[in-house]
Amino acid sequence: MASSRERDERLRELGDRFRGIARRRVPEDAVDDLVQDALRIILEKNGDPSDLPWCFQVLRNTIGNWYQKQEVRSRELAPEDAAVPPATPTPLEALEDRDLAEIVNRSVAKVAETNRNCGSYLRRLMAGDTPAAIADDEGVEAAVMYRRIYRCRGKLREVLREEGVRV
Amino acid sequence: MTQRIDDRIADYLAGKMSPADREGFESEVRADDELADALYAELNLEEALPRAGRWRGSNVAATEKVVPLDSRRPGRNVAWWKIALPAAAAVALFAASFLRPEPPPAPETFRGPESLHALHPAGEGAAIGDFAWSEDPGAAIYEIVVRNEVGDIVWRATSAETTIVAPAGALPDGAWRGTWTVRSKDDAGIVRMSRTAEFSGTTAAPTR
Repeated sequence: MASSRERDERLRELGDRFRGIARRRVPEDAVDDLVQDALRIILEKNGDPSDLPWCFQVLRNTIGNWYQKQEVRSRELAPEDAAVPPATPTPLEALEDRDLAEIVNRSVAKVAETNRNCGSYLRRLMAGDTPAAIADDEGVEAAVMYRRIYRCRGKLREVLREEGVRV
Repeated sequence: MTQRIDDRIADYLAGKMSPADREGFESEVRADDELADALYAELNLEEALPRAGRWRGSNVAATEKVVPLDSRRPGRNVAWWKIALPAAAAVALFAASFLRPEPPPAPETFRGPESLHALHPAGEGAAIGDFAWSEDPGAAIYEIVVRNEVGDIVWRATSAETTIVAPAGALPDGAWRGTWTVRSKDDAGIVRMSRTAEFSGTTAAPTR
C-alpha cells in the first residue's frame, strides 16, 4: 500500500496527465475546473491513483458530463445562441449515444472493407463479447487477441479521425 | 509511438504484465503525456464500442445490433439473432414491434457534427412543425429525420434551404416527444450530421 505522501505524488502526476488529455478534448478555459472535478471524485471515492483504467474512466465521465451540461445550457439559450460548436475534431465523449452508434457503425463497416478480421472483432466487441471470449473462439491466447484488437481499434481510431471524431 | 509501446498497452489491458512490469508501466504513464493519452484513447474506445452496440440494440432494433447501416435490410438477421442469443428473443420481438423498415442509405463519406446544428425545435414546450438548422457551407442538400420517443422515424424530408415546414399530417397530432437530426451532403457526397436535438411540445398547424 502506498504511503500518504506517495499517494499525493501520484495524484499530482495524474492531475498533470489529466490536463494534457483534457486539453485535447475541451476548451482551454474549462480544463482546470474539469480536472479538479475528476481528482475530487477520485479522492472522495478513496480511489487508487495507480488504478489507471478506473481513474481514466472518472476523467472520461467528467468530460462526458461537461459536454452534457453544455448541451443543456445551449437548450436554455435562444436558438441563435444555441449553436455552440463543439471542439474540432469532435471528442468521442461529446457524442450522444444515438450519434455514437451511427458513427461507430459506419466506421466499423469501413474498417471491415479493408480488413474482414478487424471488422469481425470490432462487431463482436460492439455486441458485448470480451476479448477473452473472442480469443477462445479463435483458438488463440487472450494476450494475442488483445494485441490484435488493439491494432483493430487503432484502425478504427484512424477512420473516426477522418470522419471528424477524436478518440 | 513505437510498436513496443502499442504492445505494452495491449499487454497492460490484457492483464498479462507481471506486478513489477505493471507498476513500472503505470509510473511511465503518469509521467508521459503521449503515453497517457494513448492509454486513455484505448480505454475510451474500449468503453464506446459496447455502448454503441447497446444503443442500437435497445433503441432501434435488437436484430441489427452489429450490422453496418450500409448492409441493413428489413427482416435480415432475425433468425441469426434468435439462434445466437435465444435469451434475448423476447427483447428482440419487443423491439421488432417498433421497427419500421428503412431503405438502406447510399454509401457516403461521413463527417462529424462540428459545423451543422439542429436549432429548432429543441427543448421543452416547443411548437413542432417548423424545422430550422444552421447553414453548412458547401451543402447542396439537407435531409432531416424526425423520430418519436421510441426511435421510430415519423418524418423524413429534404430541403435545399436551412428551414422546412412539415406538411399537415406528417407529424403526430397533439403533444409528443421526439428527436431529430439534420444531415448535409455536398456535391462530392461528403456528409455531415448534426448532433441529435431532443424536443417535446405540440404539433403546430403549418404556417406557410
